[in-house]
This record gives sequence, structure tokens and C-alpha cells, in this order.
Amino acid sequence: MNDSVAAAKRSALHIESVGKVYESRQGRVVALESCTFQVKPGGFTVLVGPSGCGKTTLLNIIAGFDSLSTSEVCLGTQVIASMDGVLQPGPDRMVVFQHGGLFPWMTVIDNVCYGPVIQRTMAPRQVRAAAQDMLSRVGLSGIEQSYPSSISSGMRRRVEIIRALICRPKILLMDEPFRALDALMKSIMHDFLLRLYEAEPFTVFFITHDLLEAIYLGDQVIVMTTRPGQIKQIFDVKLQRPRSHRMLASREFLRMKRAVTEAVHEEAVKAFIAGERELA
Amino acid sequence: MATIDYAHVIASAREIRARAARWRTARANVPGLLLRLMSIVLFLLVWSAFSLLPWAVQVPSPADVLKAALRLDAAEFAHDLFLSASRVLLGFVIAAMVGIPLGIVIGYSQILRDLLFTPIELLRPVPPIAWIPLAILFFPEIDWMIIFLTFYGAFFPIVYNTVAGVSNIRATYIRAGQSLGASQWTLFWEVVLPAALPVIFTGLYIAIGVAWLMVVAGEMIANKGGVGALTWQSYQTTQYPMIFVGMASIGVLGYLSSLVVRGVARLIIRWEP
Repeated sequence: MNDSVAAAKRSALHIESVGKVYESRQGRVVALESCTFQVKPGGFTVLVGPSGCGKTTLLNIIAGFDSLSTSEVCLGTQVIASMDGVLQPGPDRMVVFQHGGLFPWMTVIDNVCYGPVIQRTMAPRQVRAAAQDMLSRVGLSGIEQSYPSSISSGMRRRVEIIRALICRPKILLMDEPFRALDALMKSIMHDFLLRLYEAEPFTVFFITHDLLEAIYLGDQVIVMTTRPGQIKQIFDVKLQRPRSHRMLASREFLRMKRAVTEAVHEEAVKAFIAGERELA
Repeated sequence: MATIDYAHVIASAREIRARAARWRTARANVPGLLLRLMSIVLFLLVWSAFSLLPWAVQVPSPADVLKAALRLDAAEFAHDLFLSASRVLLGFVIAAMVGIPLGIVIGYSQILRDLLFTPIELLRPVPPIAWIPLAILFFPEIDWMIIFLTFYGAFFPIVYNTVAGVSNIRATYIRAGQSLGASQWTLFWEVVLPAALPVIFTGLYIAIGVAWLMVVAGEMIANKGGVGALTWQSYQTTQYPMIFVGMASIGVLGYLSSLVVRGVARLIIRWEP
């Protein structure tokens, strides 16, 4: 048995030569081309790349919202996306959405309880107790009966993460979840997510175009090329956990920053030139 | 990790906001209310001035109208109000009962949209008033003729807004629902429907106005009771002040029914700030 097969068996999320082609009236658009990487069980993998490189497409394929054109995606030993085109989103892969996915018509507590209640994994009363417990552990008690519109955007993000985690997904998919937040709120959210993760590691696949965020949060940073999206380079982050602000000035962090910036910058320039050409 | 007591922070923030709001409304409402009262007085003055001018048609003064209103037989007037209101209510409720489910299926399923929407779109440009001759032929019973017109006028805004509400739901809500494990059926009842409700209520709000428009048109043609008939008969019997009484009661009833629709919407859509 060769090494890659053994590695595939050990990984939580296994993606090998996945491609995505859109057929449109303007012709074929290759969005993703032979993407290969693994996310380890309990690993924190961050995908970075210039805007429009296909990051979200890849996440949507993993989540089961979009189909793929070549190969297949495995979660553990299970095939979750294949070329038969059947979409199968489900609670084994919870998504935290870029623009927020809390249901505005449900209170905070009903939002958090929704997954386990409709999946019938627990009795409603147990779910409520578990939800209350999780919310209070992260300092969010007191807002259970509020509607999402009446709490701050930072609180909404946190509630959404709790709503996803309470379902105990095999992998948490995060699609630029902190993009709309200001710098201060962003750093609070980073620490919030890190504390949750470090207390009880779950498997994360995180998308962003913020390099510092990628290095600060992840164990593995994957840089994507501009369209067609391919894997350009994979970096292992050797910062120890628990992570803290102080590491942002450490030698290892700066070394990573230089290396990742170089890789991403090259792609950003290519994307920019391609954009100019498209406009010309 | 230091935890912040959010409950306390929120409670005190709410208290401060509420206090500020109370103060603002107290300060702002006194001149606001005064100005609104003054605008009514001004309106009556302008009206009186018009009635004093030598027009081709004598415009009755506010006082004439008030006198006419007081001369009204209370029981008969109440019956007219009741007739119109019940016709509007029936037409509107039937329109909502047919229009909302129809709009939902058209908005949700592409097949049903292709199957059902074209005839509706073809009928929509025909103004409801153009249906009066056919309505008279279809419904020998006057009441049902008027109720049909009311229904027909209310139907289109309800269907169109429901279709728009259901088909323009943010894809994120549906994806979140699927990801959380909702089946098609659950997704429909617990995600699609509540997400569309605010737009559906916009349709109902527009529809109640159109319903009043149509009830008045129908009653003027039928001339069998209701505030529309009251207004028309006053014209035919040259009781000009009574025309104004009829018009004013249509205005008041229309306004009140819009308030009711808006109140019900607020009660149901509690999550909107």
C-alpha cells in the first residue's frame, strides 16, 4: 500500500484532483482544476487565495450545495460528493456562512436548537439544556430570547458558530465568516474561535483572503492560484497552541507571513492582469 | 478567559435606549401632535374658503356636511357601513386564501410556475373595473357580484407579492436549513414560508386598499346598499353634502382596515425590528 492511500485513510476530509467546470453561454469556464489536499481529523485547515479563485466553489462542493465535474470528495470513508451530480448537504458538514445564516424569524435559542431538534438526535428538552449550557460557556447567556436582528453582528457570528457546533459535525466549513467585521471585532472573534477549538479540537475547513487570519488560526494554510483554481502551495504552520496575540510578532509568524504573502501576491497580480485583459 | 455578563450589558443598554426613546418621543410628540391637529384645522379652513367661492357647482362647507351627517338615519348608515365592510372582508379573505397558496406553489416550483403563471400574467393588465360587465353576467346575486370584484382586485397584489417573497429568499437560508438537516417538507414550512412572510404581508397591505377601490366601484354600479351606493345615490338625488359623508366614510373605513392588516403583520412578524 502506498503512502498516499494510507494518508487518505487517516484524513478527515480527502480531496483528490477535484475539478469544476461551468458551462455557460460564453463557453466553458474552468473554476477548479485538479485540487488535491487533505484535512486531518481535528485539524484546522485554511484556504487562502485571491477573490474569484474558486474558494467558495470548493467549499460549496464539500458542503453539498454545488456539484463537481471530476473526481470525488470523501469525508472519512464516506463519499460525500461524486460525479453523479446528486447533491447531499447534511449535518455532518455544518457551514458558517459569509453573510450570516441565522434564521431571523427564530430567537437565538431556537436557532441554536434547530439542528438537533429536526435531526431528532436528542429530546427537545435536552437540546434546550445543551444549547443553554453552550451559550453560557461562551459568555452568551441572557440573549436566548432575543431575535438575531436585536443583537450585535459579533454576537450573531458567535451564535451561528454555536448553532453549527452543537450538531457535532464531522467537519466545520467556514466561508469567510469574519469578513464583514471590523478589525477589533475580528480579533475578538479569532480568539473566540481559537478558545473553542483548543478546548476540544474539531475539524475545520476555513476560507479567507486574509493571510494573517489564515496563519493565526490554521495548522495548515493552502494557497490557491487564480482561476482556474489550483492548489499552489501548502504550508504547515508551526506555531504552538494555544495561540495568542503575542505570536503575531514571533519569528515563526513573520517567516510564515513572508512566505504566504509571496505565494498569494503572485496570484493576486495574475488575477489583476487577467481582469484588466478581460476589460480591455 | 474572562467572561462578560452579556445579559447585564444588554439589559442596561436596553434601559438606556428605552429611556432615550421615551424622552425623544415626549419631546418630539408635543409639537408633532400639535402640528397634525393644526393641519386638520387648516384643511377645514381651506375647504370652507372653497365653499364660499362662487363655483359652477356649489361646494358644501364642512358645516353643511356635518349637518347632513347628523340628519342621517343611524341604523341605515350603520347597515351601509356593515354591508361594505363585510363585502371587503369576504372578498379579501377569499383572495388571500386562494392567492397565498397559489403564489407559494408558483414561487416554489418551476414546473407549477410554468403551468400556472402565464394565464395570471395575461389577466393582470386588465384593470379589475373592466370586469364589471362580466361580473354582472356571472353573478345574478348582487352581493356576490360585488364580492367577486373585491376578490379579483385583491387577488393580484397578493399572488404577485407571494411569488416574489417565496422566489427571492436568500439562498443562504435554504442552504443553512439543508445543512442543519431539514427535509424538503420541513424546509418549506420552517424556512421558506417564514422567510417570505414579510413580503406576503406587503401584498396583503396593498390588496386591502384595492379591495376598497373595487367595493366602491361595484356598489356604485349595483346601487344596492353600502357606502359606495350611499355616495352615488346622494349624487342622483342632488344631496351634495351627503356625497361628502359617503366619501369620508369610505376613507375612514379604508384607513381602519389598513391599520388592522398592519397590526396583524406586526403581531406575526415579531422578529422584524
